[in-house]
Amino acid sequence: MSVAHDVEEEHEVHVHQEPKEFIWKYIFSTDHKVIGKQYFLLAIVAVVIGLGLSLAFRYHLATYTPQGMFLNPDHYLQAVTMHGTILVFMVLTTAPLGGFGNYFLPIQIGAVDMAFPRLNMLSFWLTLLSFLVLIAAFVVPGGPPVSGWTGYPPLSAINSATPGMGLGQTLWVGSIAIFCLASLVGAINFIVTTLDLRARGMSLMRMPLSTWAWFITAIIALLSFAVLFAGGLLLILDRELGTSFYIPAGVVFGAKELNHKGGSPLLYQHLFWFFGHPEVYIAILPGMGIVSHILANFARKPIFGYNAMVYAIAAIGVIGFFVWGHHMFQSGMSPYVAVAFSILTMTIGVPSAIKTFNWLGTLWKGNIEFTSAMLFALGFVSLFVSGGISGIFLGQNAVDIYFHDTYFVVAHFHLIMGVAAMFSIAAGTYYWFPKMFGRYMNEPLGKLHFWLTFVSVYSVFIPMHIMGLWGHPRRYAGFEYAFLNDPMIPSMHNMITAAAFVAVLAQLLFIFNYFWSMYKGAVAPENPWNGTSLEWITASPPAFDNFGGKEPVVNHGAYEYSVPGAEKDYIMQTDPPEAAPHAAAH
Amino acid sequence: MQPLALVVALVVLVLGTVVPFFTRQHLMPEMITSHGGTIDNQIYITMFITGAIFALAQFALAYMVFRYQAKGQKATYVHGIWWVEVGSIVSSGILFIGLNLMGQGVWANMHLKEPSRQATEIEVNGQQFKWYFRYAGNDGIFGDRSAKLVDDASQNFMGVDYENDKYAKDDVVEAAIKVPFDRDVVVRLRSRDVIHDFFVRELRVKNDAVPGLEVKIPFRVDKERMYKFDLSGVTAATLDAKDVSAVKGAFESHGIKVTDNAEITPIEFKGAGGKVIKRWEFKTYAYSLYDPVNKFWPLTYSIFDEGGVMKVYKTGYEVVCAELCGNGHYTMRAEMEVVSGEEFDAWLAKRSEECKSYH
Amino acid sequence: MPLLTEPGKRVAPAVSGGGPGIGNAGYGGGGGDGDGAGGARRLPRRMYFTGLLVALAPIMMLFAALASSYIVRQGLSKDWEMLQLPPMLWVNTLFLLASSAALELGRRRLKDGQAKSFNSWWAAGTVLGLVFVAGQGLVWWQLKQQGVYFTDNPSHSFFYLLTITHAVHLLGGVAALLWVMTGVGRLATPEGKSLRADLAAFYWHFMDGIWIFLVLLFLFGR
Repeated sequence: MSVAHDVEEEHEVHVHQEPKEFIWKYIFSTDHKVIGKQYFLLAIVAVVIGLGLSLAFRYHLATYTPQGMFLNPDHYLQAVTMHGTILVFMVLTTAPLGGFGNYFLPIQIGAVDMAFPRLNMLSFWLTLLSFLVLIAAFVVPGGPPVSGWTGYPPLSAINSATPGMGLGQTLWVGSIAIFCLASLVGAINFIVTTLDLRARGMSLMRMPLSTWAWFITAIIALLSFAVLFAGGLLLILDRELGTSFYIPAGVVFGAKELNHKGGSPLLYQHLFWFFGHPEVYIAILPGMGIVSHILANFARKPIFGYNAMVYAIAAIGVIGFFVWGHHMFQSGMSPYVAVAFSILTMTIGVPSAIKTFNWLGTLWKGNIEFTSAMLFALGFVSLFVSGGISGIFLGQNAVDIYFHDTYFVVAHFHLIMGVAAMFSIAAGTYYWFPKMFGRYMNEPLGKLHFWLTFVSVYSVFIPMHIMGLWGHPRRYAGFEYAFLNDPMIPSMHNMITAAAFVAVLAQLLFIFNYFWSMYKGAVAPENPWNGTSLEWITASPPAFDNFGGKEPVVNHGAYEYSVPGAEKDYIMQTDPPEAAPHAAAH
Repeated sequence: MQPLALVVALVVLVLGTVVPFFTRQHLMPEMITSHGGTIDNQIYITMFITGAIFALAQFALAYMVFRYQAKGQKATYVHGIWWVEVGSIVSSGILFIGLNLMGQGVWANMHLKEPSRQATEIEVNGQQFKWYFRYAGNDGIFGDRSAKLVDDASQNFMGVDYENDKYAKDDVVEAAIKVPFDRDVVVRLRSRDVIHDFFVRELRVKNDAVPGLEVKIPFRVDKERMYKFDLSGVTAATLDAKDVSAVKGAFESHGIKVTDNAEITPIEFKGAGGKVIKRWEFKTYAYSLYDPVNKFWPLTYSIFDEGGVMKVYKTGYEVVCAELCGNGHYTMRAEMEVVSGEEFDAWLAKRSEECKSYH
Repeated sequence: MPLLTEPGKRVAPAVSGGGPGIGNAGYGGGGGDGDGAGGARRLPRRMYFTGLLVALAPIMMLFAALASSYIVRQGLSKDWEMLQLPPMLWVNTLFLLASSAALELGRRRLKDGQAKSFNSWWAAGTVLGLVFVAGQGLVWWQLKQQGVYFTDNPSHSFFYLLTITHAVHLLGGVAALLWVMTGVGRLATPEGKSLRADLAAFYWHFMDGIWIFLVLLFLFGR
């Protein structure tokens, strides 16, 4: 007997026994599958609130008159701020990574659970706490902050800067700080699990691209959230203790000079965007992985350029850390630095272009089935192209002079990190729902959901690009300028608002479908889509230890579809090596 | 059914997006600065290239979806084609980085070059939710300022030290900005409270005004001003009589709506050597779409006597704030007026004297 | 049917097998299976070390972010008053280094199977660590007596912020040291204890390194 066996034994004990009581089984569970679903539920609650807020301010913009505003300017900015914060942190970071990542990463690599299940639970509960603290900002005196999801000081650092900047802003910073801790704990788990708990034969280059994406995303989160935490720490010290990290001397409020010295508002922006830009990839990389996974499955083809896809994910992860300055071209930052950031920003277009090429290549000469999951994956590709293209404008420092902080920027990042990421979440849900709940989601309803969403989101965001070209600045609660008095502006706003209502209401269809199918959906078999990866070798839903006490042994790559000479049109990763001599090399 | 619908949707998307740009319906407002053209060119080149990539990629997606929909065929077992991978890396790299490098000249001219010494300096001060502009006055030197001296009640918004600094006494502070035509101008952007952003669409100038920092942005308004047209049959006397009806037809035939409260104001300065500088300011108003009763926006034009022919130019523009600065962010505007260099000098000399005698 | 192996006995490579472990051989071990293709499930030992190393990355990022803020903020401002480092800081540094040394000695004794000796060295290290934290408290108190406050100057703010952040992380380390000490009785095997001791000591040495970095920052980052 190995000397290390006792240590292992002790470790295994709390992993392998399924708790019996409801509270330990479903609430304080250490099972990665339950935690994944908890994250997903949290994201659903958050998305309802976040999108509800967007309807409120879209309605405000469509019906604006100076006399009878639907929201007053404070409430408008509060809605905008909370919409951004809730969606970026509580939806786009939790659902693809915390939700799907937690549920499927261990299964896809053949592990029984995450490396540190209790830390995993801690990560979820910290996220929930962070969410509750953020939501609490709605009920405190003064309400939530108005400083936008970016929370730039001095606006965010000074209570008297504008109404609503009191306790609400403090709760906002606190919530972000807790979220950072939660994400760090989560990220550690993802990384260790991927590195150390892969099944026999599951080499890194045999991992599904979704797993690769979660793994790289976790590394990005690990390195970036710590820096945001530092940024938030300094901000809260400036707010609560009166230090001068961000607040310069000679700042005047209410005709009185504040007692601050020599801080730099740009310091915050650097710390924030050092996190903030990688955050974009935290939101979108899992989507890229999920979509790759689904495209190969429903095109019945191996991923076109699997290695290039892996390197592209990694390259995006690395370059993503060196481009944050492109958010600050017009901020007063050194113009020489801006040149460097601009060129680096363009290089990140290269791996993104490779991914697009390879998605198209995966479809090429395929045998494409149009399930709801596949439609959303195809929609993702289209949105990724559209949203990525406008990034070519904003990444250029000279062009950004005109576009900075206009609706063009809003349209750009909504398409790519908002809508595209949402499409990947929807795609992943339709795809994996049978595995998670043992039942299919309703397909006709799913297709209706896709069409309503696909058409309406483009109707929202393409016009926004045009408004950006006209120079319409973002975060305006009203239209107090002559140039916003063009008759085209209100008609555009009306159209966008109408489309936004369709887009948001269509998501209710999705949520209804989700819960309805949990109980009423058609029963799904083990491998409903004839997929190849490890999640399809186990029961639907999987056993507590994922593989029912068996250990998968991996003999093939993740995407062996339509292998010539094979019996079926797919070879599962665990099929014996002789299943397809031709494919075994991969 | 699904693939066909997707093809239609993608084709509609591409046409609906690309066509408006080629019909030039939805582009930027006209620009009036020397560097503006290079920015616009860069935008158009980018638009052209990305528009092509956008269309190609969406059409390629539509093609794949349609051509390879499941009809019982067997998918081809391909793991990739090396030259496609390498080709996509090389071509996208060259394209994106090349495009970027093309734009660096514009940036360098604006930000990396030492601004001309003769440039007219204008200090732009942002505060919640107003802009104030300071000119150095006749002595050409800005007076000291200190946050301690800020006193909104006596209209000392930026704390200029009128008491102790002799250079300060003749400084001119205005709520609207006057920019001399065809001269180098440097705006010194500052803020006294939160971050604001100085944005004039037609100048193609946008930069944050950050508290504790001064950012210098040079530009030169040198384009033939917009809406240049003749007023035939109108004489100086008619304009001096402020007779709006005499010019109404001409303005409306150029698409400028003349409202009932439109007005003509003769503006006259004595320039260097006693030369008379004269123009007529024509202000019409756009009633707000949102508040037609109480709100209207001035649209300012100037009429110049060019050898007996009366010519109209657009001279009024709008400064806005483009960085979230609080609940009144959307109301933070100022008017910008482009005037001839001579008039600018005469105006500044006069205002500077007035300010000096006041302080 | 997909192929599954029966739940057989797991392959358990020797604990101190060296191989592609993480850190030096004394710490990492584990691994042993050098099989890039995943291979057998690895031992928790390897997993815990991976976890610790991964966890150190964000801590490093946090201090790196604060340190670069320190340098940037200093470069920007005209109001920077350099803090006279209190002499007590050097005494504290010695305590911290001594505690690290004691823990390391203890850890090695444990490897050699000298549990008693381990206990006393480990206790000594823990006490020295606590003395360091207490000494830091004294430094802050002294500074306050001299009128150096958190908010009066950015250099002071940064000094307090960095040292307090370090102390908080170090208290986490103290908790880990105590966990090893108190857990000793419950641990079935010397190897289980050894793993915990290795992890705690590694973390402690890392916080040592961070401390040295901070001291150098205070000394030369001007």
